[in-house]
Amino acid sequence: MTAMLKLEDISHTYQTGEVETRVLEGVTLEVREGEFLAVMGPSGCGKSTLLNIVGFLDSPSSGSYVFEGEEVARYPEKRLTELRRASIGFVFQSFNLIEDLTAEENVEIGLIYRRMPGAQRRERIADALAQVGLSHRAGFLPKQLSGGQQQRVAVARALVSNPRLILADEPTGSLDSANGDAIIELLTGLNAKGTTLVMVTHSLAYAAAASRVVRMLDGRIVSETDMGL
Amino acid sequence: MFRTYLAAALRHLAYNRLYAAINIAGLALGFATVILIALYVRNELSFDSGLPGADHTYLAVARASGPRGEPIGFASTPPALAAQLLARSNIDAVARMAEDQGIVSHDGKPSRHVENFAYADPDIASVIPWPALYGVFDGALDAPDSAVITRKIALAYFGKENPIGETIEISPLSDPRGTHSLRIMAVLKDLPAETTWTAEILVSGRAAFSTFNYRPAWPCSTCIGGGNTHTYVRLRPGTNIESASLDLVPITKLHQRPDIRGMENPPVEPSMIIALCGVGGLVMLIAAINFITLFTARMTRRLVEVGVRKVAGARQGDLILQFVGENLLHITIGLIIGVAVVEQLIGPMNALLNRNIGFNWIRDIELIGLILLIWLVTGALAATYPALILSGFRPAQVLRTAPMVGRAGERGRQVVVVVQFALLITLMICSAVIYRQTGYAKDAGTRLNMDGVLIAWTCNPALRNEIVRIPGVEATTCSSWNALGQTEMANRKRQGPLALQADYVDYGFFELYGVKPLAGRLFDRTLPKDKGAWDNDPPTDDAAAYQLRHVILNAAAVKASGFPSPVAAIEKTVTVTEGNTRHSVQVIGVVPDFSVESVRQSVPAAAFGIMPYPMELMSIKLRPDRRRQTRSVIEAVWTRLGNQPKSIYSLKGYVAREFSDMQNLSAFVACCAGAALMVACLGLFGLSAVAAEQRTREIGIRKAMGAGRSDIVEWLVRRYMVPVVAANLLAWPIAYMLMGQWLSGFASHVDMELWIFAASSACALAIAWLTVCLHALIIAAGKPAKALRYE
Repeated sequence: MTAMLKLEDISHTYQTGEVETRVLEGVTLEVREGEFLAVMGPSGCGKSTLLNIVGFLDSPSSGSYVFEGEEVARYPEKRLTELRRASIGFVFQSFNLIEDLTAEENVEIGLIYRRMPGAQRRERIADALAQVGLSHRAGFLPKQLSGGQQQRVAVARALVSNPRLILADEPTGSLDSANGDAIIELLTGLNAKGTTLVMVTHSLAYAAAASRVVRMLDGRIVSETDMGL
Repeated sequence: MFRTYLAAALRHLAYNRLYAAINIAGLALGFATVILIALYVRNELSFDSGLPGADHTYLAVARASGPRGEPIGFASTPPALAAQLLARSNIDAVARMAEDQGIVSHDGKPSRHVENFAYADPDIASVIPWPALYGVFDGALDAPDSAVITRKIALAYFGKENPIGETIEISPLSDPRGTHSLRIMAVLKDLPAETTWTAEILVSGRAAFSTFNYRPAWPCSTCIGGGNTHTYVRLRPGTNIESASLDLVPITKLHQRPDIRGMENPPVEPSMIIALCGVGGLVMLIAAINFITLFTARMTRRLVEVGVRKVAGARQGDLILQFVGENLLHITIGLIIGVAVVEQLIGPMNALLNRNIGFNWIRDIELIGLILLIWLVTGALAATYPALILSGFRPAQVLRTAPMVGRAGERGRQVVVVVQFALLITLMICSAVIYRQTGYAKDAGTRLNMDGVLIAWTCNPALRNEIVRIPGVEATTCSSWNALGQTEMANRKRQGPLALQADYVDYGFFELYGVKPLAGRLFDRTLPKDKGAWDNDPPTDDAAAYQLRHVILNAAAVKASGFPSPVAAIEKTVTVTEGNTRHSVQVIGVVPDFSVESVRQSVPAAAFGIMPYPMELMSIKLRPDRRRQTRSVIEAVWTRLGNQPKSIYSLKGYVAREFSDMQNLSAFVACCAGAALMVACLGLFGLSAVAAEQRTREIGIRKAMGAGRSDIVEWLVRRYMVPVVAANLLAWPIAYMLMGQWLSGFASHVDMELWIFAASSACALAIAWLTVCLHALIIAAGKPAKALRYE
């Protein structure tokens, strides 16, 4: 498998007033196309920051980031938005659904900025909701859905644009085990169809579904395990 | 407890600098606008109240009906009225004052411009005992050759404050008979800016050339019957004005009576005062609403504090005290800044309005009371309401749940935006209409082509012959001033059959001003009958015996005479008044209504006739090229022949000065509207900041899903554009009604064209767009990861 993205000596700091907090330090990581990578580690070790950098939600303070052959670490926000729009889907722990929008409108957010024609958009939304088994809840507001259903809407939103890379930040963190299992099943299904998947998780059980697991501590990658799948 | 409240208030202020700045700036602007408007309104309402004995002093007013049957009054009354009034038992003193213009000189040094002066009865000192700095006002005008001047005039002509016993020379424009030497008997304290008494030189009414005594040999339309004589009356103390059975208007109310014509200092329109008060109230209301909205929108940030304090034992009263105190701190800071802003702006405002309004916020008790009242009302409105709401939450409710200002709160804020922008668009439309009406009054409203026309206050034939030969001069003509600025005369009450007002012109008058006949023809020098005739035979050079034969009517005269159309009036006979005689004349043409005074009052019915004698006004039309050089040549000729100071004016400039009060007031209204706009924009900026803050997480999600900066900006801007568009639906009909009402007070006015409404709305939209866009750009520029971390 060829490398989809490659991070090299990535460091990241947050500046809060006069206090500088180093969140990532010298992180080097390669993710191959079609791979399912799980990132584990204790709270505050930099997992989510790493995911944000991988998904172009943030730019590293230093280091190199090559995505599909392009060095993107110093790309301006506009170019990063274009890359994100073209290649990446996100699933968050807290679902991050927009409260004022219905399930299908939330899914539509994944397409609306891709300037897709309305008819095609509606078809894709219906497909995505069908994939996560929520066609019958399309017109519901988030507050009318259970936690598991909300996360399934979030997965539908991530997959509706057929991204090559899905980034999931503790997607089961707010769910019970039954709903958590269902979400992992959905994600592994997508991975099986060729979508590259990077998932941050605290759960060993769900990490076991990945093809490779990296462990982080204090902003560094401390171990890497090939699950041999 | 107070210490912790103060610490919390100051810390809250420091941590929320942006919102505090928005709130305080809005309030400061609101306070400044309200105080400036209040100062102006108080100044307008206090006209003449500074004159000694103002409470017992009245002006006799002649009653008449306007062209539309509306009651109007004339400040000018017949000179003989004074003697009749003196016979009444309830009248203490009567004195007349008649304003005139003339060339004033001393020691061979003439005035640089035409000076206003007034003929006054010696008793004027009893009616209005204005203090004298030198000499004694009482009795100062007893001698026919005496004059009284103000300190300002003394300094201007004599270079010293006390020229008692020295002389000045006056050449009245209305009297071609020469220059009169007058002895200065008293120097008065300078007149306040806020008085309807504008003449700073008083000439004894006993002078032979005074309007009260002098009847010119030729029909001078500005002096017939002492047309500008004002009769002031002082009633005996305790006399009821009703029992005086006279049309008397207290001098303290004169300035607020636009229905009374003929005052030198133009009266203020009460509707304008009401409108200004309304604008002031609106600005303050907008600032207070913004304060409340911004506070309630950010209330969720204080809910935990409310819960914790209540859990710790605070009662609602304690919290009300805390939050009212906090809000009052903002309001007080706003007030202090507002007062400082007024200190800075009072000078420019005085310059703009030509006033001398003082701002003494330390000693002026009335002003201090007003400021405290504004502070109290704003405090009661803006500080108490949010404090009541915030302190009313139950601790379990606020500690258990997340932010509660959801969609309902947002809807409320949208309503605020709609109302605010509706007010703003209304103000903008009103300002634009007032501005256009002012411009119209100065130019198109006259319906005369005043471009390149100079006027000179003499029509001396020798001078005219010289001027007409100057290459840059296209044409000259003579007329009475009344032919240009036709106004109703006080003593022209209709008695018996209709007699038209005769206004005198020379050949070429209509041609020079581009007035085309609606029917018939203009005067023709080759037709002898177009000139009048002498009623004595053989004709002598006696102007009093001169009578018109042919006249040209204006459209108002055609209507007043009952002709169905201009064409129907041609070759018909009408009656005209000349001096004290009436006679029949033939109509040879009809011209449209025109007048440099046309917007303030309807153009009266007039009959224009040719006058062979020199008249008071020469109009000089310049060729379009090299006008400045031509004017210099004319002035040189004037000096060479006239030996008098130059009294040559651009007619456009002269008319503009006549309407300067209206123009300045409209500029002031526009400034106030601008202040309202700024306050509303600050509010909108605050609201959009709150909206963006509350939607920070949503912005992060949208960006994570691929939204670019422009998408976020567009989304944020659209949210606030919809209410601004909706505001138009409210604003347009309100502005249409308000301005329709205002314009109906003018005899001639501009139309309320659609583009004014559209442009005002577009302007409001653009400003709102810029305000929101500015903030949206800042928000949208942030990294999505940061937005997603936001709680």
